[in-house]
Amino acid sequence: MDCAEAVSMLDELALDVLPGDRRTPLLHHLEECPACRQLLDELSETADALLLAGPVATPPVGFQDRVLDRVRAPRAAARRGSAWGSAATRRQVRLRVFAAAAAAVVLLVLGGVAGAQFGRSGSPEAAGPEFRTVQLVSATGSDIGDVSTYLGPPAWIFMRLDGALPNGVYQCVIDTDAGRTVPIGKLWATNGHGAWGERVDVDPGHVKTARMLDSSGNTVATAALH
Amino acid sequence: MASSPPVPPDGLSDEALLAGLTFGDAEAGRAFVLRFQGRVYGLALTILGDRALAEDIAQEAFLRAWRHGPSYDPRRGTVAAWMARITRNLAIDALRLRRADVMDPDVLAAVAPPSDESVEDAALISHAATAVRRALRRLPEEQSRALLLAAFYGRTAEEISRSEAIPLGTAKTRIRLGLRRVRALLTTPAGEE
Repeated sequence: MDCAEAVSMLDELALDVLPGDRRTPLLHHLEECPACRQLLDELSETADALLLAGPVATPPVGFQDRVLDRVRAPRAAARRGSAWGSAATRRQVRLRVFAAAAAAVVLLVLGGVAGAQFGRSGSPEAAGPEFRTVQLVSATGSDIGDVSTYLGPPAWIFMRLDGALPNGVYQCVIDTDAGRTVPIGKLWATNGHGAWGERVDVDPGHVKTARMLDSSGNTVATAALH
Repeated sequence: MASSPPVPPDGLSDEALLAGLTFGDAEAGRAFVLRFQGRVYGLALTILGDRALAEDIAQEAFLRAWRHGPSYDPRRGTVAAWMARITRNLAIDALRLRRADVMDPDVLAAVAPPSDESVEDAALISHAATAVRRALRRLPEEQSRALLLAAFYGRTAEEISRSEAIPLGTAKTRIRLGLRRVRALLTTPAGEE
């Protein structure tokens, strides 16, 4: 396929209406052609803008609660299947939820390949995305939250504070194996609760620790990632 | 200790709220749904034209966002665009299950505010959305119709060819010219068109 033929099909690809038999050779061409990829990016941006220009409508009363109930339902099911009660058990359940999410992502990436192993995300030999969740420990050694990482790409880091720190703004930073400290965002704690999550450009596999700093730059919580 | 006032979750970026939803933070999840529910439900309602089904699809879109949040790649578009694509694809799948009911959708409804759009919702409509609507109005009607059938209803060129009773090549041309013209209008500074 040459560029002229590819360009004639890029609009339908950007709008996600290109039939599969025409899509495959076009994707092969795009792998080799930066100019066509650039045009596809531009057209895709316009296709997105079209969708975002659609009307906004107020959903029925209670919509938000119904959505959140459905999100919580799988977690509740996990809770019923365990000896729920202690803080340690609650953490295990939470980690199980993360593991389930990780498995779902692995399956997504693998395109639903039969026999894909749930939980493979934790095995060092596994290729592809990987989730990890570790405890966030205060300066006095208390468990005050957790830090989750997703190798991606794109890589994500999510920090959650469950309690014990005063209200206020905390700087989140990560320390790399190479000795670099990278600020990744700010966490606002309210009534002991707060969370921060964002895509990061640093490979989480090379992040040694994630920390929270108070306004004076003192470390108030640390998570050892490896 | 920092003296800055705490900022509620709805003050966070779209990406941070998505991360919160994905990783199970209740407050961030609630703020995420609140931020996007009008757009998601509105898009589903536009495509499906059925409030009950639109709510089902909108709920499912948020569940997909929760399950697949880590696969979101900001290099491929904004969170808003990602949510819109999820919603659109779910709605199209639902639409195809009852295709006989929607052979001739009112495509202009896709870019016209419905009568129940509240002032609060209208405030969410960005300047960019207004520019897109203006650009679409400047297209020949047959181009905007073909473009909207593809963008919102997932109609392929072949399906548009059949439903509009036009040659396949004409359908492809209308889609291509429509999208390129909208792009040109959006990227041309005001006053230089």
